[in-house]
Amino acid sequence: MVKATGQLDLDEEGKWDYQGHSSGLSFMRGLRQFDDMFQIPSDESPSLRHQSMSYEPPSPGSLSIAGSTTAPSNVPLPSRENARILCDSAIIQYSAMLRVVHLPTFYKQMSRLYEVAPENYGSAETSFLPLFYSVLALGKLYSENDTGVDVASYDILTDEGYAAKSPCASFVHANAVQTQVLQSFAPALGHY
Amino acid sequence: MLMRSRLKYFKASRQLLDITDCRDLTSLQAIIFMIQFLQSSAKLSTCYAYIGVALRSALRMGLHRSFNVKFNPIEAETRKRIFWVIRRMDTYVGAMLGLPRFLDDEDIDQEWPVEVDDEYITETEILPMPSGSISVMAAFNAHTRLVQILNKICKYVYPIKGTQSGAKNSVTYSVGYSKIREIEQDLARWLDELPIALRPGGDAPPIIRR
Repeated sequence: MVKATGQLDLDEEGKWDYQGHSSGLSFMRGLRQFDDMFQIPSDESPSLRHQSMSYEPPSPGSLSIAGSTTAPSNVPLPSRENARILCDSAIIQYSAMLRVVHLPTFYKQMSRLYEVAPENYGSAETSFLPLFYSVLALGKLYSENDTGVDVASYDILTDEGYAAKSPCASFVHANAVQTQVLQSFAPALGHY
Repeated sequence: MLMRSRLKYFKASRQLLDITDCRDLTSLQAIIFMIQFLQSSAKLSTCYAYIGVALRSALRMGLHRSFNVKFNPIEAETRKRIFWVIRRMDTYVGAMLGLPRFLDDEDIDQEWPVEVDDEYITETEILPMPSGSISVMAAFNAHTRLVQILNKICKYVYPIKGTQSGAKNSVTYSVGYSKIREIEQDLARWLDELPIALRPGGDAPPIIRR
């Protein structure tokens, strides 16, 4: 018989958090029964505690689903060459398995942003901007991790990955190890 | 300073987009990149919320249905890709958090993306890839198949129904050996069907090998 360990937690702010029994949290608690075989950090250890982006406390609403209500600030575009590097890194390198854009179309739209003066942006350009910024954000995220500048946040990410890893992941992972090629698309598979 | 710039771009994107009224492919692509950003930088449960929004938007745009004759090849392929990426994210992050998926397989008849690289897809036609070459989209579809097995694992190994309450605070259930065997066979079959180029030691271009 397997023990179902899905749980409903109440955090310090009085907010509910339900995690079902396939979750990483439940898995780690389950493993703790076999103390002798595995060294499992206790729930209080930082690796299992829920962490938000603690290296930079988000301003209220900045990451929430409702978003911020402040007027769009003017975020300058990076240089065209730099943008190309960041986009290549985000789309080709890190989301290869999650390819949702048509690359030639994407780069055609990107060129327009640089060829047309911002004050003359039409609806085609303005509707492309959110996509462009979010790709830049992802490109930036990975290029910073790559250069090792951001060691603190890397620790947080690996801790989270640790906490988030579920038995399913390990199960699939065990098989995926053989298929190193697929595994190299790690961002798509999650936090390894 | 560096950390700021990525958050700065994220916020710019977030502020320019009303994600609760997203009904075009470009906006939905933006949300997908936001989800990937959050997956690597925030709580997984925040991701789950964004994935919910993306999935609902996709449904409103009919991406789960196969209407592809109405679109030019680029649009049709983009619709398929977006749908299957969101589907995968929903299954994957749901499994990580132990939460159910929103959408039943019964409600989906969208086709899988064609396994052809972007430069062979134009507004008028989809050209064949040179023989012997493999598309990144082959890996895309292989990953979708793997995540389908992950979903089966969640269903079989972590069922919600069929649990029995025993002593206080203890809920138990059993998982049949045959179910585990079935999952093992699924995984073996997945590996079997994996294109040679995607396997370890396979002969693949650098973009796939890495």
